[in-house]
Amino acid sequence: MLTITNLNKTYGNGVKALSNISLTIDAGLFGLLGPNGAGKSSLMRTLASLQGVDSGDINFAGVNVLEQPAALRNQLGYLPQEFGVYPKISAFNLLDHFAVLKGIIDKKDRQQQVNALLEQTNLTDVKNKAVSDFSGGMKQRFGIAQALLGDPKLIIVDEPTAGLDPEERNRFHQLLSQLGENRVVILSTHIVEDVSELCPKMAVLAAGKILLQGKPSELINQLKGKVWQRVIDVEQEKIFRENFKVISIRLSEGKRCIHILADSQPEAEFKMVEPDLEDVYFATLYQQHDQQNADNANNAINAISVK
Amino acid sequence: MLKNLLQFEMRFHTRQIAFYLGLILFFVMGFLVTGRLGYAGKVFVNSPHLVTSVYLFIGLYLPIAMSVLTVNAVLRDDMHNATAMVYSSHISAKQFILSRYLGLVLTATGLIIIGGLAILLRTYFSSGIEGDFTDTHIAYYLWTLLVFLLPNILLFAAISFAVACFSRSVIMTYLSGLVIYILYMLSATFVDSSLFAGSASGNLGTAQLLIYIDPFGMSAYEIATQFWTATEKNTQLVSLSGDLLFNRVIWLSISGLILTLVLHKFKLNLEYKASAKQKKSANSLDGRSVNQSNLNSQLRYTTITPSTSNKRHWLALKSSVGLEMSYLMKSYAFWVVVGLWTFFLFGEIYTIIKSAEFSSPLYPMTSRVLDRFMYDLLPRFSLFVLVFYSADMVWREKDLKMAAFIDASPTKGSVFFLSKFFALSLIPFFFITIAIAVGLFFQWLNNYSDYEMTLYFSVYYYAGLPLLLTIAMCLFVQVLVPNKYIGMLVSVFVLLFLGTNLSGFIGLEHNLWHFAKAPELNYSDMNGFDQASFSFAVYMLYWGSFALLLCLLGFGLWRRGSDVSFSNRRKQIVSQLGQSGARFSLVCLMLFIGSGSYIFYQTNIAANYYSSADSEQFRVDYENQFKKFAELAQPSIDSVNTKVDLYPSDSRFEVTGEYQLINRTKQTINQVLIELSGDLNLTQLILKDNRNQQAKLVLNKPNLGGYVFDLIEPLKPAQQLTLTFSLDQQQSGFADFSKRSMVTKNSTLLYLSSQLPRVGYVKQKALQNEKLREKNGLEKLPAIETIEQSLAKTQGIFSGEDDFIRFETIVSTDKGQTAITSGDLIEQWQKDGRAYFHYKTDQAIRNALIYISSNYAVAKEKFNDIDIAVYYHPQHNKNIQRMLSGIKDSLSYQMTNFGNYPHQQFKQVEAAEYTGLSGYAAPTMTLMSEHAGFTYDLTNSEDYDQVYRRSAHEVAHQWWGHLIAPANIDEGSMLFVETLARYSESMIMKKVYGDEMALKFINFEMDRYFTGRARETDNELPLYRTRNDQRYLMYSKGAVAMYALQNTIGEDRVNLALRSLVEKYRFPNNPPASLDLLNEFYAVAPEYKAYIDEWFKQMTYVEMQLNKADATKLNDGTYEISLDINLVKKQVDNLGEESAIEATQLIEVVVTVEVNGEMKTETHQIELVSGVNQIKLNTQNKPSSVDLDPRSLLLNKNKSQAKSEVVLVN
Repeated sequence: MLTITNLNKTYGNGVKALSNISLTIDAGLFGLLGPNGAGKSSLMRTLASLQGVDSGDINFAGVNVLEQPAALRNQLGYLPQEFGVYPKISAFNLLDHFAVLKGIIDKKDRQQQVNALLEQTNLTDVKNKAVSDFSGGMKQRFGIAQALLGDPKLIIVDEPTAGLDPEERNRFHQLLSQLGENRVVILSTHIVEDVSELCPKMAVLAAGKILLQGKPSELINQLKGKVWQRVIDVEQEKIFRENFKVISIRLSEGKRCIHILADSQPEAEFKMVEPDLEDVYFATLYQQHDQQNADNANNAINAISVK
Repeated sequence: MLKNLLQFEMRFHTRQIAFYLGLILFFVMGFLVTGRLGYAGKVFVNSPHLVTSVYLFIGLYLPIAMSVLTVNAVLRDDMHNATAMVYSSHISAKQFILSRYLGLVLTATGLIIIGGLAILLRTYFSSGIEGDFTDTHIAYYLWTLLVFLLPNILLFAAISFAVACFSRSVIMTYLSGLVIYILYMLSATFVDSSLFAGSASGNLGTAQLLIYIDPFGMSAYEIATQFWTATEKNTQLVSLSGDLLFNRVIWLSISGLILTLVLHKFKLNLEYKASAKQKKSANSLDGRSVNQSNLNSQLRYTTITPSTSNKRHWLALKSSVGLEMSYLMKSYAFWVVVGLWTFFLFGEIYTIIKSAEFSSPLYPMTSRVLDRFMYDLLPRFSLFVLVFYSADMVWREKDLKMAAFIDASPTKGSVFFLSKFFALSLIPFFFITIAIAVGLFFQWLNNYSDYEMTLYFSVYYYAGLPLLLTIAMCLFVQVLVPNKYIGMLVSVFVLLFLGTNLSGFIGLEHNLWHFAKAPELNYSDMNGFDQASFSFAVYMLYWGSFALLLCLLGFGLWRRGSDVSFSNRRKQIVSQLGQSGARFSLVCLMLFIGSGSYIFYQTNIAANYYSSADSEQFRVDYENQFKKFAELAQPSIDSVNTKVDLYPSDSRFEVTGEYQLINRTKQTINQVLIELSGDLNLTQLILKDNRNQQAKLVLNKPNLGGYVFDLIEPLKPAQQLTLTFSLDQQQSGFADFSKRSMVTKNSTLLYLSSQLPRVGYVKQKALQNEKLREKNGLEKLPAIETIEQSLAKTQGIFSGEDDFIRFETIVSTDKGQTAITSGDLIEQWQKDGRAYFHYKTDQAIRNALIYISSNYAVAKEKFNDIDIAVYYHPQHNKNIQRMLSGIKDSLSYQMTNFGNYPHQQFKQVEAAEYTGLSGYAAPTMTLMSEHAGFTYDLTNSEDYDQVYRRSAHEVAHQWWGHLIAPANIDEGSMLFVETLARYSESMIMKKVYGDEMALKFINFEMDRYFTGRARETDNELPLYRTRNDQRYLMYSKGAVAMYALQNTIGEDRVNLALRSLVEKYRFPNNPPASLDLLNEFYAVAPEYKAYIDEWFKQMTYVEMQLNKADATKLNDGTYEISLDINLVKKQVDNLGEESAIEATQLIEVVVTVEVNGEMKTETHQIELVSGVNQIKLNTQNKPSSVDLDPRSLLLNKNKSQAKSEVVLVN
């Protein structure tokens, strides 16, 4: 449904936000995983028709998003990463206003949908309270309610669970999981669990590039037998980092537990572990770093030799 | 710790853009204002007075600058969400407050010091400043800084600091600056600051409270220096005492109090945020909702396909407008602004009925109510509010971080633009509605029931429409400019600079450049807005279509998403607007060009348009071309015979006429210059001699209005010529016609001195500004001639200012109107639907002709065979009887004392307000504008009936000014016009109100004299030399002198002298010089020559202070009063230098004594010498009070300290 072809975008300050991004996304939940500053929000904003690109194409169900933003907006639900609302306006009134802006002109229909969404997002009890006074989780749920107004075929949610407590997050996930039928839902996040819990398909974005895409299960399978783990002391960290491909160091009950990437058991103390999506993610990021370091080193050598 | 914090504050402030903007602003202001503000003349540009005035003036901007700084100082944590971090750090509340307060104070001090430096620099780099300089003294600057500006900074910082701390609101902090400013304005309006108003009400010091409530201390400064002469202004700093000291102490204490309050009440926690509480409740609700979580509700979410019909845009617009409006209505700041507006209105409207000493309040008529706010207050106040709110609204979604919701919705940009437009238009709507409500309330309160609702509602159109255009401009600027604050600056610049005549500085003089501005509206009860209403409509069409274009561009450029560079948005304009938008903009463009062309045609082609450069050139050319005629003998006009046809409903008039010219000189005349305004359409101009030979037109300059004829035969003395002419003029509301000479539907006033031919060179048409003259290579204007020089030059044979003429005219006007001019009406008839009037004079009159026509009601009366009539607008009928009796009493007094009135009729005629004629005496008639008498509310008058007084005064001019004409010389001739009319008026008023009231008025005039001379820009002169522009001499000192004179030598003797004057100098004799008047006085009272000379020929005054008045009862039952009186007598020399002189002064002391429970007065003569005098007086009865010189026989600067209760001591 959504085809993204060779998107490139460089900001005025020289930061390359999007670098030759191509993706094909079908109906269902799609997870876009990446560290902070990877370009996720840039991509989300671009897909939501709020930002242009230097080159590339976006096509959604036959609509050229970059050229006909208005046509996309008719079928778009967008929850930005961070947002505020008008002060002193109740959830119901504000949602109703957004519904009008989306073009739902029949008053009865509109109120029915607004009420349903408030119920769905569990905000019915507070529908007459000002949204500006809501807690973080309530606000996010209001945000998703807002994104579902009308008949959105493309829903873009940017880092929706940041700052939510586990219960809030859980509820939010339930809500999202119900949406994936017949529409494209793109969820951008830096939290691996969000993706593993929700998304049948995903991509990893870092430094403006797509590093990996596919189904989480398949991606995990590819890593099978390659992830090793051992517990180390604090002062050993440096040595291990120098000698092994350390993809992550996790704390478990106060101990340092490192995961490394290796085709065979590197040392006796290492145990093979069943990889999870987190390993996939960190392994990808590790390889990206490695690549970058190598590039930098090459560049440095080139620079010297040129001299 | 505090030191570190303070250093941090200073680093912070000095890194803010606002600080640098402030520096630039204060510097530029200091530089620009220096040399332009205040009365220069003999006062040095860098004198203590002008340095203080300029420095104080730029200090007026402190509250605004400081509220911006305060927002930075106090609210920066909120704005950057750093509040919690800062508040939880280890600094104490006290340190927090003190460091930030002091940081604020120091920063503001830095700004104002830069302002002072700019003034100082400007006095060195002084090119372009008119005026002289003295030595530079840093002390003047430091004194102003110490006494005024630093305390002000402490105060303003405290106020805005407190407001910011407790409200935590940006706009409230800005508003606090505005409130301070308003307090000042209030005080300044009542104290009548010379910095802003040129008018001398002479009524300072009546409202002490108002001096104290000025937080700037400027009113106190005004009061303290009101009588200062140039020398004092050049040498003295104001002393920190009296009212000024009190003002300073009050406000410093208030600053201390506020700061203490903040120190005690302000805590470093976040509970001041009102929303914190609400947050709690919302959270608890959230907790409940977790348990009730129910995803499987019967309220199922189903999708709804958005509509694509056009109705969606309407609905979106409606919903957005509702939202924006409720935002406005719910915002606290908006109601504060509304409150301020209401407060302002009450203050302004109250001035209509406010009675001040010797001035009359007006009936609170609707047009007067509108006059108080519609033309200046409303546009200015709204402008700032609109600039602020348009910025706020355009950037609101962005500031609230919710733009993405809105931007990603399918609603068009135009909907958002328009929703903000409509919501903002609520502001002027509100302001106007409130103003109307306040006006109605006020009228109701004063039992004035003629509400004139149509006129009230017209405010929405005349004042509201330009404000809607203002909104469009503000929104457009905010959409265009990528930063809110820069956008605000740009808006203010565009609206204030381009929207007013200020843009004339850069050559944009034509009205077509002045955004949202139409030609000045002039409302008259007689005439409505008349001509202006059509030109207003066309101008609104012009600017309205321009504003629509701005809106369309605004739709297209509306910021959406995060890629909002101008180049990106520019590309989207076409697609955003679509075809209908493009068509609509084409229509707007055509309307804009069409209406603009029409305006241009009407202004520049159908009428003469002069830019200031044009009119400068025009004056230069006129002088170069015709100057030689100033020296050549020219004939005088001996008789005028005209036929004038007024077409008020067409704004047109036609004149055909014939002059008899006569050579009254002793030379023969070969060439005659005829002068005529270039705005007139001349169709015939023929000059013939008495043998019917037509003179040859040898120079024809219609643009300059000059026509030179060569006579066939030289014109010998006493020979005559005939000039026949016909001309017409079509007026419109577009051309810049003098408001004094307009032909409009129900009010026509023509000054024929500027609309009929004149003979000879007209001096006034030459450039008067010396700098411009120099630039254009013209020689300096001749210096003022002293009276002695004039006498020597003419051997006492002065010509009058105007020729005396015989006059006959037939004037016609629209049916229903009455056309009035000088002379006696001998016949009137109607023909072809027009009304005709035939006027003729028996006696020669001054050629100061006026034609006036309107639909008048008339009140007639007969007095001693003279027909008196008052012509008035039928609704302005309340004071007609007062006018009639003023006219009668005045005629009676003058006929009894100075000789007969030489005509059969006298009329007083109402002129439209915009003619600006408070009172104008033409031969056989007085013109008085609507609100200069006809609408005075006399019901509560405690002192003079001003309608009566003014009517009497103007009638007196039939003698003083018409029977005795002022000589055409530079000095002293106005004595015969205003001083003597003032005298007649005083005598009439004395008769009606008694000596006590008359003296009160004379003392009031004495104050006005002292205020007036303090504002003199040139040298003060003795009364007998009064120049034509020295009103404080001819009116005020003249009235006081004449009153003192008649008190001293007696009214009879004064009148005897004046009667003799009239007999000797009335036409056809030569007009008198002021010395002739003195000679008449000497003749009737030779023993008082010294006294007369002191008043008329010298400049002296006394300062008498009654320090102490005690009385002791003596053993014999009588009382001994001991007075302690300080006398200073000052003499002013020709250069304006004052010096104290040794003097012995005989003065009258009146003691009020108690005789058997009744109060009686005893008059004593005492002799005072300069310095402190101990005087003892004996009286039989118990003294209660003493009064020095109660009859005001002396000019006393200290009049308020001449009276005292007597304290009995034993």
